[in-house]
Amino acid sequence: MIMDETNMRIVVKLFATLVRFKDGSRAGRPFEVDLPDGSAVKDLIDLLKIPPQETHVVFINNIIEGPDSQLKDGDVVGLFPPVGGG
Amino acid sequence: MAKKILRINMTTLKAAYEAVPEKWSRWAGRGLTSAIVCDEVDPMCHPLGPNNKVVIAPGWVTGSPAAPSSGRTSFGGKSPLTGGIKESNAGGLSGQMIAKLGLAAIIVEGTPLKGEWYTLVVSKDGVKFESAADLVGKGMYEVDELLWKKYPKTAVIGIGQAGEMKLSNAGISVNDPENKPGRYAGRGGMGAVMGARGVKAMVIVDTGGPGVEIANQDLFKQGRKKLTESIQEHGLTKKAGGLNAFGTAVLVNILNEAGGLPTRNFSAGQFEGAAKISGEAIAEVCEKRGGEGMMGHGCHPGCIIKCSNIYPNESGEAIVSCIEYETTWAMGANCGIDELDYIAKMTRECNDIGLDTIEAGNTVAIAMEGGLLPFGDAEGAFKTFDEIRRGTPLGRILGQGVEATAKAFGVSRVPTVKGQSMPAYEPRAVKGIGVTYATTPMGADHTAGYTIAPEIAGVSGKLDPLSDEGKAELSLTFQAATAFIDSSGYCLFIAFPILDIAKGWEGMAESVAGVTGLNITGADVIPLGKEILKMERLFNEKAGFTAEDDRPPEFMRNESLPPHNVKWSITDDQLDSVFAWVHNGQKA
Repeated sequence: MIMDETNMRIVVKLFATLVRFKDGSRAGRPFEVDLPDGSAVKDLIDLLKIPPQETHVVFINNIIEGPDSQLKDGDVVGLFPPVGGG
Repeated sequence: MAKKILRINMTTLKAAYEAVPEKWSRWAGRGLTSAIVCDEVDPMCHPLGPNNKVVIAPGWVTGSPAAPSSGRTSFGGKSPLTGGIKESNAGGLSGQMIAKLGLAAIIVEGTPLKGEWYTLVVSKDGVKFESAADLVGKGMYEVDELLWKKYPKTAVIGIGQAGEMKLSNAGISVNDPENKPGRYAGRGGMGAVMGARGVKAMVIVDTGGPGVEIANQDLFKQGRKKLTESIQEHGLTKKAGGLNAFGTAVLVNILNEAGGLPTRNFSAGQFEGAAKISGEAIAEVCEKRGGEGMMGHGCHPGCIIKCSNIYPNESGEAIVSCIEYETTWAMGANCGIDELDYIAKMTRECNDIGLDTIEAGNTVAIAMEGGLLPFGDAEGAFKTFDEIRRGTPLGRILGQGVEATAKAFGVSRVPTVKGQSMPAYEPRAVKGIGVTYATTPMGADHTAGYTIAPEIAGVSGKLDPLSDEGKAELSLTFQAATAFIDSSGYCLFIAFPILDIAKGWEGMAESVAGVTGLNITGADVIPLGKEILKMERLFNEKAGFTAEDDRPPEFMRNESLPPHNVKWSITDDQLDSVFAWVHNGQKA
């Protein structure tokens, strides 16, 4: 994708079972995604072809957010399926 | 046939069966160990003296046919680490076998002549007191192996060298289906209490036992079905879900992402090597090395979650089962170590010597801060465990846990509450769990009220981990529900599906009611849990605990934690509100 002023660049990290939605990815290894300005987390999830119900917890810059949260250029997004234990 | 209490007296070397008195008849698991400890153990006794006891109880449904993931055994007594009441529970083989012998609880009391050690062989015919002279000084891997040669396919409960030395970080081991030691009632030093009774090991032979009576088969089956379905449907507990595929260490990355993964003795909330010690990394190693390595290992027969793992070496031979989240964090991030092979080797040392991995890892981190060795020194950290095994003066200090080690090395950043060190969630970044650490009768313990579920994992709703709001009430609700689940014999991990799926919650209560005949529904879970908490709080008060013991360590109020640069901000009044109901809102 060609970067222009209407786009923003997001750093994405996938974890656990979500790693399978990015070829060659490993848990927590960051990669970049370009999205149109004004995109929300759910647009990023769409672009990555992750079924929305599989994404359970979303972080933007280490803060838990929801699928409707707006993204901005340079945001670091972490996507998790259901995880727990302890 | 009504269940019985088996009382084993180590002074007289005699055992006797007793009817379960009315006052204890409602309880099992944690509820029963705490009720017995409250009635029979002087709160002011020395934890290692003649008046403390080890009380062992399976849960309400443990040993019943095909109740899913219900193999827990509770171990109770007065803790040498905290000086308060302790219930520590474990998976493995013991719970189901004790239950199948028709026993509600085993009480081990008294003290044999100095220097005498015993193996107690518990069967339908009573108790045999065998000399353990051949087992003394041995680690739990060898103890389990030797006892299975004589008593194959039995449950083995035992202590390693740490318990023999009566160190405050000594746990009680239960063998897993492969007869490996690794299912630990680890927290609080109950291994030292067992050692003080002169008991090196207990063998449970369930052959010919009467089994677990089911009071109402239809209700039990209905509850079991609902609970089983909820476990199989939930994304975290279903087959190939988060726990099954990656184990509990699937939490490493999400806590790191949240800035709540305690790093280098609680000086930061993120570890640059987190991904290398995560559940995903453990799964990669198991897949690559193959052999005996596996994810999805079950710690006891009948588990349908199977969150355990067997971590292999480069040749595919098992090093240890299993690397838990708490373990990979304690030996890893908290010591600045990112090498899984070393974490596996240190975990094996803990399982062999008989140490709680949380307290052990925290202790190494304290020693690192105190200058004994540098953060990140994996080989040096590994070597400290042999000091404990050999009982060197240094080893005996380290084996006493975090507070003793901090004193020995002049460290003031001491992450403990009531003498017990904190697990793998930073209270400054995840406030609700800090309330649990501060107020649970057990000392800092995540399992006592796992608010991580809504604060991080998005289970049972979603709450902001950094916010103080509502966290006192949240912690109390989780502590009460946990006290009930700890009494049921179900693994605490059923909490994830039953908090999200209503039929699971009902099913848990119905299956308990079905087995016991008690009139229990989902609405009784929290009130019954609060009754247990009240007993435990009152024991602690009689042991000398006050509101000042329900506080997080001072440094958390003074030092900002990166990356969020947050301090502990929940007020003492909020902390005191958690258990104000115990005295109807009046000060104790």
